[in-house]
Amino acid sequence: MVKINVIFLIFFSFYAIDSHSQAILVDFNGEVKYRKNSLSEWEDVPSKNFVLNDGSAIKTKEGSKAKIWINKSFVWIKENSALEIESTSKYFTSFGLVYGKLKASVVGLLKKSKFQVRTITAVFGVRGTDIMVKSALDGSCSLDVLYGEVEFQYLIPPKKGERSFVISQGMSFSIDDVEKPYSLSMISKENEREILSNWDPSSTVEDSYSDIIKMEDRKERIRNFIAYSNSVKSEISQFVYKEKDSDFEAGRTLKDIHGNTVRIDQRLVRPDSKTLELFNIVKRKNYKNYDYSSPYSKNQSGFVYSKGDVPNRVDAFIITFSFNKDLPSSVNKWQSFFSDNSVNPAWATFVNANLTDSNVFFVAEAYKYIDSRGELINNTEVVGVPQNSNERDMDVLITGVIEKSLVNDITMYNFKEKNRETPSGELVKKNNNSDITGAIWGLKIDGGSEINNNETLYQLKTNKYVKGASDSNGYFWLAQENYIISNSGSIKSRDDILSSNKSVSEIVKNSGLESISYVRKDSSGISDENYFSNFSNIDSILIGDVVFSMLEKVSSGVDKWKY
Amino acid sequence: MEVLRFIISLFGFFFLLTPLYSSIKDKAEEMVAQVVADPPKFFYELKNDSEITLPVPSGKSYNFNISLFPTLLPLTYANTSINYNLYKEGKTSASMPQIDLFGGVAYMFGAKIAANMSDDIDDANFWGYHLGFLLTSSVNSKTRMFYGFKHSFLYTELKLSPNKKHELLGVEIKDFDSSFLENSVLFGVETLKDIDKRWAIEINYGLKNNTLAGKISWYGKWFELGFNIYPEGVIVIHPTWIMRLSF
Repeated sequence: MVKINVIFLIFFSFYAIDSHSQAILVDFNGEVKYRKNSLSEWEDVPSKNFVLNDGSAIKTKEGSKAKIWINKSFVWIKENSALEIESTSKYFTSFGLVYGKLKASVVGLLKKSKFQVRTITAVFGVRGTDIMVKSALDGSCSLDVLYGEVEFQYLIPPKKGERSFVISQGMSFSIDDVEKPYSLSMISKENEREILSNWDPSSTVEDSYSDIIKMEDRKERIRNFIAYSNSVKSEISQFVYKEKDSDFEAGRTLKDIHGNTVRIDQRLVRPDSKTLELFNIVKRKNYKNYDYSSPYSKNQSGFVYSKGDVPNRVDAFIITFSFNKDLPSSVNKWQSFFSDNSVNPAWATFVNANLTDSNVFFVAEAYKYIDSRGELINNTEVVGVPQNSNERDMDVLITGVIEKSLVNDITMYNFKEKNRETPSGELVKKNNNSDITGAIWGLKIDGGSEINNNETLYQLKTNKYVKGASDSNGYFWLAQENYIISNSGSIKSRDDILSSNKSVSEIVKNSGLESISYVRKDSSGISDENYFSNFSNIDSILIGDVVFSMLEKVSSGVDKWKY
Repeated sequence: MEVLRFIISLFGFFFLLTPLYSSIKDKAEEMVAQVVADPPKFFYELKNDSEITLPVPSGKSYNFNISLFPTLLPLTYANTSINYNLYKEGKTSASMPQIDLFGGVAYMFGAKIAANMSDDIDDANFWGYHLGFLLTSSVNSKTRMFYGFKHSFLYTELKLSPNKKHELLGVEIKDFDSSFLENSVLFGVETLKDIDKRWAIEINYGLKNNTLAGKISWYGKWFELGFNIYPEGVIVIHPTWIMRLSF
């Protein structure tokens, strides 16, 4: 029995020690008075870190302040205030604010523990962190909750309404007249600043506002977040716009036939409501020097390369189609749009260009829809030069070295022969007749050749053109070598395509068409000399990724459905 | 054609919101085409409207939510969700944020009714759930930032009668039976504007399917009004109306 009593005594002692904590007056300035209990006299506080026992009280005079520490929490008292320390138990901490103003910053509350501030009329049970309480002897009081929440309870139940309720952060509560209902409002900026300011008795004016500066910093961060959100929204709206502007995009990195690493970006855009443009941008960090592209073109006239190494090379292959009707806004409706008999292309251009330098070397073909023939035709009429019969229905080639700003006029078919009656082979803009300096056109004539192979997928072509369709303007040649290559740059064979047992999608993703063009001088046949000096070749690679994904999408995503 | 009518009727109410489109039928067909391309994604966006990922207000322990529009009405997406406050901000440590858990379920009972009433549709099932957590920190007394994680799942099934040939915009279809799963991170800001009146903006990014959604909402003691924005969705802006009770 004695043993049990000893164990109980030890346990109880530990509980008593653990459950009790102390309120310590850690700092004060000015005239601060202390009273041991309600029967004793007020006396001066002897020193800082003075222990305030249950039942004691302190009061501050004009211009004085005090700070109390209890269980990781702090209570600050401003001038002309009186505070009773009612309980300092770890599970129940209670202060009575008789009059004046206090701030409490409460942290580390245990489950079921309570921290409260009582005034003459009410009890504020603090559940959160920072609050400010004001109290007066006439019973009026107010509470501002900066963070967390406070459980409010009337000491004397009101005639009407709830006796207790929760006041959440950001709210300001006040009882101005004990006979009248309470009022609840948003915390004012002044009160928020007052709570955030430093109430430490020894703090300077600068210290007082350090927390406010911190809060302003946090506000700044939130403003930055909102600005970021707005920018994301803007991105979203741009994205939505882009969805209409650029219907398909694709990109691939591969090796070209020369072994250069190539990045290809492809996108399908709509320059206007009737026009579709497929951009195929070919970028190479380093374009290595070579003499001939392949064993097939070696020593063939017109196919020699003479420019040397080129850093940061950019080529492009741009296909543009314009239609007689507005394209549907949704890609999903293209299938029915294109199968409509009343829809036909108005014109089309195929532009192959070397965009590396400020002046652009290009070759292009244009096609115009002839109503009477019901088809797209490439003859002199594409440059506005009429022909009375189809006798000279040979291809017209547009080429030249032009300023970058003029490339759009070529792709958007804004060009025509400068002198319609006696063609010179030079071009002007359709819309304002201004010169497209450096651009010429020529009509294909006999004299060209073509080499290809049934097993290996390559083609070498040379074609002779007469400038302005008039012998008096002279001649030039186009030499073009086309290869179907794999992503590793090797030339593909017929079997690679037809007997590979691969899906169409796999074949498309692992193939590209490399097309290298040279414009050469005429010297009783094609010469190896560049027609445009210092502009040797255009080396584009066309991939089928966008076209394939377009077909996939236009076919209504049928693979999502079971059959 | 009943299939087409079934799907068109699902977003018939959105036509009221698209006065710029001269031809409602064209717009509907365009939407149907997008739905056909990826049915679960479309139904997921509608279900996402019922997923309430806002923090429990300070002073409250949990929220009980029912999304009324466009989910319950008119799409018959019966749904409910709860946001439970596990830990109040700064209770044991000043730097600890508020921690909320949330979860909810949704079931489209109208799909079943439509299936029973239709000769073309044999069966239709749309149901899903979501769960996650939210951390909330106060920036000042009236503004809180929140961030969290959400796991969402949607099961979609539509079985058409095998005895008939069904076509949607020229594409022959039979049925679909698939699910949509998304794990999202979310960020947002909530601001107290008046007593029991708040507004919030939120960005929600799906890690699995790279889905992006934005949300702006205003809410009081009983209801929440807002807009969900799906930049890549069939319907980009969804107006929302949610009953949201806090206890």
